[in-house]
Amino acid sequence: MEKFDLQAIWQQSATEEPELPSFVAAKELVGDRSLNLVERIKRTARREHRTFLIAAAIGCLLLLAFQHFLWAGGLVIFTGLMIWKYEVEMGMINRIKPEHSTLEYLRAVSSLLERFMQNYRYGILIFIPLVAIGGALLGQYRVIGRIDWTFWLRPVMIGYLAAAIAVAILFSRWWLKTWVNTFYGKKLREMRIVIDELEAI
Amino acid sequence: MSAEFYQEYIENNRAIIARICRAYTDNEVDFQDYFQEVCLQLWKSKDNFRQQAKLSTWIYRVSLNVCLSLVRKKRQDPKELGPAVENLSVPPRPVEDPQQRQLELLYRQIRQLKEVDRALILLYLEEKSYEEMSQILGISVSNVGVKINRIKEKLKKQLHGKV
Repeated sequence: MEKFDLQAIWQQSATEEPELPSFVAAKELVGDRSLNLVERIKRTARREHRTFLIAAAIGCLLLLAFQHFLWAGGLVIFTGLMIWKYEVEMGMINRIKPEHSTLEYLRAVSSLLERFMQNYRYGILIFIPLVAIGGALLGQYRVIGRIDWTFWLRPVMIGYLAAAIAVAILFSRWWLKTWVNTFYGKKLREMRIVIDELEAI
Repeated sequence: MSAEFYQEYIENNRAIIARICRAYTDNEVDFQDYFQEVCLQLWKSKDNFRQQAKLSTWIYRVSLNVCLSLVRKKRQDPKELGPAVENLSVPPRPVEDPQQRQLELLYRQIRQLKEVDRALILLYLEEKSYEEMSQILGISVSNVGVKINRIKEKLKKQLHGKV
C-alpha cells in the first residue's frame, strides 16, 4: 500500500454510525428550524403571505367603513391575485426535489432564490407608484367629488408620478442590496460558483 | 411517509450520510445539524424513490444536494476575532490511533477543497463509477477521470506536507 492510499484511509470512516434522529424529532424539524434553503424560502414566503392577508383584511374593512366600496373591491381583487400568485409559486417550489442531479437541483434552487429576491423588487416597484396614484385619485375625488382626467395631464402631476416611480426604483435597489442580500446573497453567490464549476467539468 | 421507511432505508445508510456530512462540516454542532437535515430530506423524498435508481445513488444525491444548499447558522467567525482566538476556537482533537489520525487529516484536507472537488473526491472514495458520479452530479462523464486524478494528486501532496 502506498503511503497515502486514500481509499484505504477512507475505509476507516465506514465504521462511524452516528445515532439517527428519531422519527418524531425529524418530523418536528420540517417546518420549524430546517436549515434547507428551499424550506427557508417557503417558510418566509408563507409568513409574508399570512401577514399580507391579515393587512389586506384590515385594509378592506377600513375601506368599507370609511371609503367607497369600489376601493375595497379593488383590494379584494388584488388580494385574490396575490393568493393565486402565492399558490403558483408554492407549486413551483414544491417541484424542487433534492433527488434530482446536483447540477439540476442547484440550478432550480438558485433560480428560485433569484425569483424570490426579484419578487420583492417588483412588489416595491408596483406598490409605491400605486399608493401615489391611489392617494392622488382619492384626494381629488374627496376635494372635487369626481376624477378630472385633464388634471392628470398637467406637468405637476406627471412630475409627481415620475417621482413616485423614481423613489420606487431607488428604494427597491437599496432594499434588495441591503436586506435580501444580507440573508440570501452569500448563499446565492456560493451556489452560482458551484454551478459554474459543475458546468465546466 | 412512514416511520418504517425512515428506520429501514435511512438507518441502514447512516454511515454514508455521516461521511458526506463530515466532509462538509468542520465542527460537531454543524455536523449534527447537517446530519439531521439530510435524514429529514431523505425521509421527505421517499415517495419519489421508486427503485429506478440504486438506493445508494439516491442517498448520495440527496445528501450532497442538501449539504450544498444548506444555510449555515450564523456564528461568530473566529477569524474576525484575531489569530489567538482563532487557534483557541478550533482545538485539535487528540487522536492516538495513527490510522485514525490519517483519517482525521484526510477529512481536514478534503474540507479545504472547493465544494465541487469535495463532492467528486467523496464519490471517488466511496468507489462510485464515473457513470454514477455523472448521474449524481449531473455532469458529463468524459472529464471526470482527469478531474479526479488532479484532485487525488492535490490531496496526496497536501497529506504529505502535513505528515
